[in-house]
Amino acid sequence: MSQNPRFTVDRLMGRAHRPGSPEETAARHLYSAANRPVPGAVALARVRGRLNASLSRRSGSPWRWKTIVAVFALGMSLGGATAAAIWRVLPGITKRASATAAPVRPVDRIGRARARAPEAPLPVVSPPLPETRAVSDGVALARPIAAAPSARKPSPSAPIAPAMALVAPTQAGRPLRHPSTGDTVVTAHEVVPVPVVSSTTNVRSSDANVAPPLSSTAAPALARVDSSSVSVGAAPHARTTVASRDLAEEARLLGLALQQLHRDHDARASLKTLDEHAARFSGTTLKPEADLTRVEALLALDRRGDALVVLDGMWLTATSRGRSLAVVRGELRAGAQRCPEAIPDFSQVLDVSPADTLAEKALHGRIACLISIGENGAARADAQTYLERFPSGRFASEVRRVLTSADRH
Amino acid sequence: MVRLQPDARPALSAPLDIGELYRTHAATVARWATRLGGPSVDVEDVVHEVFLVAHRRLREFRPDAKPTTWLFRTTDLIVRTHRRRARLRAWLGRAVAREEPAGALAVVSPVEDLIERERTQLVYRAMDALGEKYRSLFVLYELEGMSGEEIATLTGINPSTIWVRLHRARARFVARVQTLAAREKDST
Repeated sequence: MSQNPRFTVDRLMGRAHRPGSPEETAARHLYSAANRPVPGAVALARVRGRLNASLSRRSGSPWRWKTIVAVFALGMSLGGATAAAIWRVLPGITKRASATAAPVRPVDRIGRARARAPEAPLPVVSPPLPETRAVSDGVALARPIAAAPSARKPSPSAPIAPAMALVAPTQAGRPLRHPSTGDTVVTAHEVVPVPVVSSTTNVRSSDANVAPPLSSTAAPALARVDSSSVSVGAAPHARTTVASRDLAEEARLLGLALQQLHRDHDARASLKTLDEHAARFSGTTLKPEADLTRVEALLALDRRGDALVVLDGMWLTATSRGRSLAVVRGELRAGAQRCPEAIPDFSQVLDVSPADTLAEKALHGRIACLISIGENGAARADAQTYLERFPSGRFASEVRRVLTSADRH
Repeated sequence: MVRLQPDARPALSAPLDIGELYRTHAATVARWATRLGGPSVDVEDVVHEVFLVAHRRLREFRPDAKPTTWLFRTTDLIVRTHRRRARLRAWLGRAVAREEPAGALAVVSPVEDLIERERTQLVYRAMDALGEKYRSLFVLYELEGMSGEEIATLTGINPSTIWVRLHRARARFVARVQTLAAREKDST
C-alpha cells in the first residue's frame, strides 16, 4: 500500500477492462447501480408536503409536552390517591379479619358502614357529582348539578337531594331503608344521576323529550330516560351537513389509501381502499386524485397494464405532475409495444421544458421508440440532441452506443 | 450519471432557512440517499428525515460551514440507520427489499429492467460487505463520480486516507462481486 498522498485509484466505471476480468464484471454491475433512478420532482414535492405536515405538527410540541406532563401528573396523583386509600383501608380489613374467627364475607360499602356505626346517620350523597349524563345512551341534557347541602345529611324531610333523582340500579325494586327512620337512602357509589328537567334546567322540548322531574318519593322507582324518546329535530342545515360529511368521508378514504401506499408501502391495501372509494363515490371532484393514487399503487405492484389502462383514460396537463405522468405513460406505452402512441407523450414533455430531468427521460424514451418504429433518422437527431443537452446524463453511454451503431450502419 | 459539485452552488446566506435549504439541496440529498441506501431503503423517508433533523439542528449550524457537508453527514447516518432497520426486518423474516415502481425506471424492456434490478441488488450486497467506513467513500467515488478532493471536502477526511480506503474498498468490492456473480451463475 502506498503512503504517497498523490496516490490515486482508478475508477472501475468508464475504463476499458480486459473482457471477462473481475474488474470488467464489477464495472458492468456498477453501471446498473449508477443508472438507478433518483426521486424526481414529483417525489420531492411529496416529501416537501410530508415535511411541512411534520413541521407544523412539531410547532405544537410545547403544548404536546405540556399535555404529556399534565396527563402524567394526573395519573400519578390518581395513583397516589388510590394507593393512599388502599393503605388506609387495608389495615382495617386485615385487623378485622384477624379479630374475627369467622370468615368475613365480602361486604359492600353500606354493609361496612352499618357494621362500623349502626347508630350513626348514614352518608347519603357524596362529593360533587360529575357532569350529568343520561342513563341509557349517554345523551347529556342537564348541567352538572352539585349535591344540595341539605342532601349531605339525611333528614326526615329531605332524605334525597330534591334537585336530583337518584337511582340505585343494583338495588332496583329493593330500596334501602334507614335503620332508624325507615327513610329510603342510597349511597354515593350506587347513585347514577339522571337528567332532571325543571324550570331552572334549560332544555328545549324540541331537543329532547324527557320524563318529568321526579320527586323524592318517586326516587326508589327506577327513573330512566329512554333513548328512543330522545328525538332530534330537523336541522335547517341538514343537507349541507350530509354533503360535507360525504366529502369528509371521501377525503378520509383517499387519505387512507395514500397513507397505505406511501407510509405503509402496502399497495394492495391501498387498491382495496381505492376500490371502496370508487364504489361509493364516482365522478366526484376527488376522482382525479384517486386515479393518480391508483396508478401509483398499480405501478408499485408492477401491474403496468392496469396502470396504463387508468393512464390512458386521463387527460394530462402541462404541470410538473402532468409531465411526470406523461413520461410514465409514455414508458408504459413503449413497454406495451405502443410506440406510436408513446411518442406524443414524450413530445408533450419535451415541448414544455426541454432540459430538465423529465425531459432527459422523455428524450431517452423517444429515442427508443423511434428506433423501434424504424425512424432511424429522427432517432439519430434525438440522440445528438440528448448528448448536447445531457453530456453526462444517466443514459449518455447508452445513447452514445446507439449513435455509434447507427454510424456503423 | 450526474456528478456532484459541492462547491458549484452558492453558499446559503445566513440565517439558514429550512425551505431554502430544501429547495437547494433536496435533489442532492435524494441522490445521495439513493446511491448510499440501495434498493432496501425508502429514499423519500430518508430525505424527509434528513430535513427534519436539519430543521431541528438548524440553530447548531455554523454559518461558516458548508450545508452540503452537514447534510451529507446527516444523510449518511440516517441511511445507515435505515439499512440497519432493513437488515433487522430481513432477519425477522419480514419484507426485505422495497421494489421500486416499475414506471419510475427508464428501461423500456421488462427483461432489461429485471437484469438491471438484479445487478443493482448484487452491487449493494457486495458493498454491504465493505464496512461502513469504506462503503460511503466507495459510493461517492464510483457511483457519484466525485474526485478524491471533493470527497475530502464533503466528508472532512484526509485525502490520503480516502485514497487508501478507496484502494482497499475497490479490491474488496471486485472480489466480492466476482464471488456473488459466480454464485448466481452456479445457481442458475
